[in-house]
Amino acid sequence: MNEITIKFHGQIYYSLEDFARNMYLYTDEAFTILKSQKFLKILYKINQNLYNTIAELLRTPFQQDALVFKAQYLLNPLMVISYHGYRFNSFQALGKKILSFAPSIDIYLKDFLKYHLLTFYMEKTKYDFKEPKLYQEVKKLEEEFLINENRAYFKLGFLLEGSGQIFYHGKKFSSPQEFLSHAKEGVNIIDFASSMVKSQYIFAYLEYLHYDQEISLFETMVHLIEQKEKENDNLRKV
Amino acid sequence: MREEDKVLLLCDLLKVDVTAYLDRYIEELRTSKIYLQVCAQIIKLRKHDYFRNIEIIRRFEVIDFSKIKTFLDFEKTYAEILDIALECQKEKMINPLLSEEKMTLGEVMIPFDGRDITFNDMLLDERYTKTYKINQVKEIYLNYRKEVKTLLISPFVEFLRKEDVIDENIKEKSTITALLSSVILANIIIIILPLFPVTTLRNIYSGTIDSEVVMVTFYVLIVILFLLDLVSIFFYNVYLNKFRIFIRAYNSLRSEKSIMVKINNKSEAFYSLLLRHIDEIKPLNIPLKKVSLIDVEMKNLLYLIEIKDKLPYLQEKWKVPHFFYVVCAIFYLALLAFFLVIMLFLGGHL
Repeated sequence: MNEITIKFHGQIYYSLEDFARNMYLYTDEAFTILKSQKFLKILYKINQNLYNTIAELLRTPFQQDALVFKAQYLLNPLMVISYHGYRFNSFQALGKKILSFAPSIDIYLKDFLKYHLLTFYMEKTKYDFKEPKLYQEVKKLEEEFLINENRAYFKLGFLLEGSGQIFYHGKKFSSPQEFLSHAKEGVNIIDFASSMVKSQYIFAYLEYLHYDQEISLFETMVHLIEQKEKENDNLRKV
Repeated sequence: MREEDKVLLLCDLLKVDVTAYLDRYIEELRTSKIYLQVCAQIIKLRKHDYFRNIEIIRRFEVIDFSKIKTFLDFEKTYAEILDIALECQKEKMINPLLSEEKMTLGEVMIPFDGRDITFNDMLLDERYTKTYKINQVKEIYLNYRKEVKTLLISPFVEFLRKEDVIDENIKEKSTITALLSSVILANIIIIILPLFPVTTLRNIYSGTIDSEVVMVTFYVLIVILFLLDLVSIFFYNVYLNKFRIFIRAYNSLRSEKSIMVKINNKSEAFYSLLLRHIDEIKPLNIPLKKVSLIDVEMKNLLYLIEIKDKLPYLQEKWKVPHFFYVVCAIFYLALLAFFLVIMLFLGGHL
């Protein structure tokens, strides 16, 4: 292992673990190194099994960032969650970060569900045994992501953050009622409405708090009205 | 639906007070283009007493803005207005089995292959195979049947569930009918009796019989009968007119099976007709009236079903008014007087 020297973004790394620990900072460059013949030859010499796994990973048609993410945990399983410039010391920190952007969506953080990165991380770091309930819930969100991306994404945020609070423009609200009371008082309810409903942020929060009946009724009504409006092609005069 | 409307609906569902917005929204809806269009359409629909029109008007009349207390109520009302507007727009998309429009079956619009065309256009379009047309028409027919079930058969079946109550009422009705028939019969007997060639009988009528007892009894009988006639006419007008709706129900009930058979037979005949015309590639120049299930009898029945909730007769056992007992008492007096005359007559005038 001491014979390894990997030059990565102007730095020399002497172990695979060190290299892996910094891959998330410059994913494009890390990807170039990963697929280089030189790196693969070194890997083959050091650990044939690891070489086979990485080579197999490189053969699968996968998104580049997600591939780098998976490769870094194969090279160094003892790492905190690191992805595309982000580093999180805990699941809660990841959840907080997701919610801190809300109702906007960070496309890189979305990859945790899109490419099943979080469950991959949990499996590699044995969190599927340490926290089986959390693991199962994240798995479920990965499935939900296929139906409603944004809602599943924010639900992941609420699940990991775990305080049961909703964040909006730097303010914290401890219940949907408190949050909506604040929102409807605002002068610009239209702006609030368009960002809040389209992003699915509020619905993710309500689902997280198990307001399933209310959401179901809301969605039924909205679907019914929009369908009829479409058919009528005649919107209400404002 | 606007995004802010969604937020307010959501607030409402989560018990966040948004009543401050409600009045403005109701006013907006009341003056909206869609609502005004519906109002204008309803005026047009009122001109024809068609089954479909009655149904739309009934739905429109139920709309009550003053009953909107929450945003959910508001959105439900809005959805209903949109739905009515949609129904009004489908003027030619009618169900021939439920329509009374004065047009031919061939002119009825149908959804066919993603377009809205008439039955005749579909029949004469040679680009489609017969099998394809049959499959499409089958779908259309099944939708018609579904509507028939919802609007005609289901309310009828629901109506018949009250059969027990109606059975009781039928008994009451039979008693009253029997009594009134007896009154009429008594009048007829009194009128035709002098036609018999019996001298003594004719003497009673002419007042030339020598027995005063018989004469007095006979005059009492005539007076009582006259009184009974008056009271019966009054009873019939005041009480039995109100009972007329119930009598209709009774008659409709008696023809329950025939109505169901008629609905099924006519529906099947209609479907066969469509298939035959597809096969023969012949236009359908048949008046809608011939295939429609809505005739006078059906309309009466539907009217009855529609107003059934307002009829005490169909909700609970019909109570015979006290006045009815007065009629009965006089009737028995007349009967007694009649038998007395007969007895006196047969007993040799005493």
